[in-house]
Amino acid sequence: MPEENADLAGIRRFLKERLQRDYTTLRGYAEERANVRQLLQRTAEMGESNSLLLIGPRGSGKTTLINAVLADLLAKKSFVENTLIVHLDGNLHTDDRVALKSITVQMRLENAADGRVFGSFAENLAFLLQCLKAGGKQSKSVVFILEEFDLFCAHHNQTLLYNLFDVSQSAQAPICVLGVTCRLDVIELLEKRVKSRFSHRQVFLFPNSERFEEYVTLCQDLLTLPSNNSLLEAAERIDNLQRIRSDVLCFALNHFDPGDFSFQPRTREMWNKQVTKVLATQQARRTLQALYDFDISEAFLKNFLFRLVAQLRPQCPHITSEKIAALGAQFEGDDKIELLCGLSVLELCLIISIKHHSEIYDRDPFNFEIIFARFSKFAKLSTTMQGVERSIVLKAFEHLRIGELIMPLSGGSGGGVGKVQKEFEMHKLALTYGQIQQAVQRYQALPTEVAQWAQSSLI
Amino acid sequence: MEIICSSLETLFPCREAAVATLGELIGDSREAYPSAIYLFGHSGTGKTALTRAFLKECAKRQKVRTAHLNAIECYTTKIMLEILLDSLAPEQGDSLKADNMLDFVEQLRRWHCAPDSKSFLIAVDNAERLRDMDANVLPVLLQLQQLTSLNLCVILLSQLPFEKFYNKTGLSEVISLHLAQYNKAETQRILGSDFTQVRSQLLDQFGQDSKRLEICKEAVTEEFYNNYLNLFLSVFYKACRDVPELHLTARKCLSIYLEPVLDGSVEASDVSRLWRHIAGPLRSALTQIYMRIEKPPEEAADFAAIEDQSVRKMAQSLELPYYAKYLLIAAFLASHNAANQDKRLFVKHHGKQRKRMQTVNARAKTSDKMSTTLGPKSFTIDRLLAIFYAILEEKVGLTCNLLSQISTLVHLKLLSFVSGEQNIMDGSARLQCTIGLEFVLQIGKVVGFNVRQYLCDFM
Repeated sequence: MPEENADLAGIRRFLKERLQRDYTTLRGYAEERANVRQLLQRTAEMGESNSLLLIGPRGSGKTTLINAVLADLLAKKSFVENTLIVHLDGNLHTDDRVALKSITVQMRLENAADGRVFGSFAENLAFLLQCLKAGGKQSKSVVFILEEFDLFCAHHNQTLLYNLFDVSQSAQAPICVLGVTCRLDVIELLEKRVKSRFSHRQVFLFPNSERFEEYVTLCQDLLTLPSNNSLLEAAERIDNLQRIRSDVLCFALNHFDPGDFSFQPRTREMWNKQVTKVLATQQARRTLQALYDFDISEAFLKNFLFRLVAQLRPQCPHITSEKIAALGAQFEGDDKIELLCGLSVLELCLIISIKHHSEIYDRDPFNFEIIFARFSKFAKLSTTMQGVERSIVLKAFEHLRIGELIMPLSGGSGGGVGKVQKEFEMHKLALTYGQIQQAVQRYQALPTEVAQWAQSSLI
Repeated sequence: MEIICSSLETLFPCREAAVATLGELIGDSREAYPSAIYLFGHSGTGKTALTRAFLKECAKRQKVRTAHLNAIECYTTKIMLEILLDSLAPEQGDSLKADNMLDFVEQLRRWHCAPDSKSFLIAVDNAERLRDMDANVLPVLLQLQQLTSLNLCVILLSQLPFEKFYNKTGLSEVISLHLAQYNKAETQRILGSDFTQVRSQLLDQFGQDSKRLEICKEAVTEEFYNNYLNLFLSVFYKACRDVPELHLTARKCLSIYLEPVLDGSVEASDVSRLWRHIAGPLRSALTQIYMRIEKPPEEAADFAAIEDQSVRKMAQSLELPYYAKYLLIAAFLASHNAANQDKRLFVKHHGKQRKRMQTVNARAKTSDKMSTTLGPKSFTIDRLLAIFYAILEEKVGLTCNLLSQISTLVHLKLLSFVSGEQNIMDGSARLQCTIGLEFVLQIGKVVGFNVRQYLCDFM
């Protein structure tokens, strides 16, 4: 028994790590991958300069693609010796000064640049590249990876982008600029002078929405245990990552290492058989289909599977279709309805009167007084809501506002704090009628008269 | 993991499922953490308490470094980063500095080589505040694991559904968990769980009075307390589901409930008679919920009577001079009537008004559009004085005494300046009246003036 528990813990640990920390395994996108790979290779070996934008929705595998290509190329000695990788992130490098400092550090030129005074940004960058050239007979090529490329567009005058593209255009030193972004209109963000220097090479990554069978296969891939041989192979590939000599591009440090794991053939086969069986059931497929309809990205599926795998414990050592369905139901649920069901009856009554007001006046904004007047009409006749003081109702109204179920109208009256009394401040409803309807139906032990009032505004 | 869960389950009744899920996700520091967990639910559902206890257990048993901070305290990013660094690495003292996100992330990357630190947990309370901070804070926190390549998990706590956090370009995946509001049975169980504590407190309280002590010992049983809570919830539960608030009020009202039993006038088992005693005070306590007004005990007994007519009492107890009261009424009329109606309302021979279809339609307004519910409009001091002289039957001189009454009313916050506070003398200052209709009706009654008669809304 303890042995089985240890096995299970091993499986759980392996699956969790692979789902969470496998930054270099890219599935699909063979063409795009070859494209990027070729580009990087040419920069490294022939010294060609280039620029490229990688565009795709969040979670579609843009970063993974770059990492995968790097992992491939790092196996080659010539690439490792010939290139420097500079990794910038739009969220971290919030202005060009910080970015340039980081570039200097990543190119290991702090000592060379120390104590020098540069007139302009371009001069500084040119100096950095010059330093590389000075070393050998052939200069080293630099790969700039710019994550969240759209954020760099917001920097003052787009100096960094201008200079990088300018260098890549004018054959000064071989550099390759890889921009990664999820904004489709990113080209429009570039200034004219920057745009004209960009090579307009774009690679789009779009997960396909009509390949449900592949999605199921992917799901199965993510859940099955590989054989020990393939584990070793993968481990070798991962070992190459250690050759990145960069403090910043550090995913290698914490990358999931298949070499740490090995499974008994019997355990592995039992587990894999179980996974295949479960994924073939009607229930599991229905849940997966629902998830696929929601979000086709791999990241979303990994998130789902991570939670599924986390549920494994000695008492229930297998993934079952019931568990998949239960977890899928959680993903499907509407958070706002959950929150509505946690309100008190009084607060729900306010929501209902807001709904009536919105229906009658075609989603006009409302203030507390209007809603309170409508609510008191109901409260006078009802048995449950009688004798609720105005101050309590106001507090309930504020609670709705804190929960952002209703939102103050921005600008105008909302802007001047203290100018408008809170009773008269105009709000708008941030819910749909359907959500309110569902919440009223699902609310536990709601008084009948309130439920009836929710149906019709006539009292 | 099991030890952590079982130790927390006793502390947090009715939260077994949430504890178990947290345990699955971040219970074992040897396994991969998810990059971010979003924990949401209404206030008073135990988000903070649960997380704090969980982090503490993790820190104690698995040597995980933890940080728990409240986003409200961090009005700049720098403060947040310093708090984080301080609590993640307490032994390094003030030597760690982080001016921006980049410094922070680099600092964390350096810890990778440190042998003692393995896993990190960061919890952020009031996470909705992160939206108002620098735009890069939230995306970086959600991706911190990938950026720093540490085994690190960020837990965000908030009252909002996660969809309220989405920005223009989206966020990376999080695992969101909902802490559902307690239902009535659970609330009663939680409130009843401190029975032994309440009992010992009561016994302490009556330490000197031996007769009462006897009765108290006999009467205060678990059943008695549960009966009380049942009655208490039947009044409060519809208006408030916030457990800490209910807990506080239940403690407060217990002494009133116990009073007749201690006197010997009612048997402890006679629930219906006890209900008759407690119903009034409970209802009045309902009007006070959330207010936390601490009153001396002699007053507490009859706060029922006070609260019922709070507006009337307040209006009557307001000791204003005679003219000031008229000024206040004039201000209210000026705020809630349109200026073009003044002539018809206050001039004796205003001529015949022709009824046209247009005006009839315009006036056929519904109660929701009344100016008393839409809030006060602003008026000039000239108009205020004109209305004041029109409604006051006697003649008074325009003296500085009279004008100083206006500033008194402003000081009392019954009037407020909308604009032009500096230039009162040139007449461009605009004021508005901040009191409600109820209040002004009471003032009118005191001086014998029918306010309704002069309001356009009621014609």
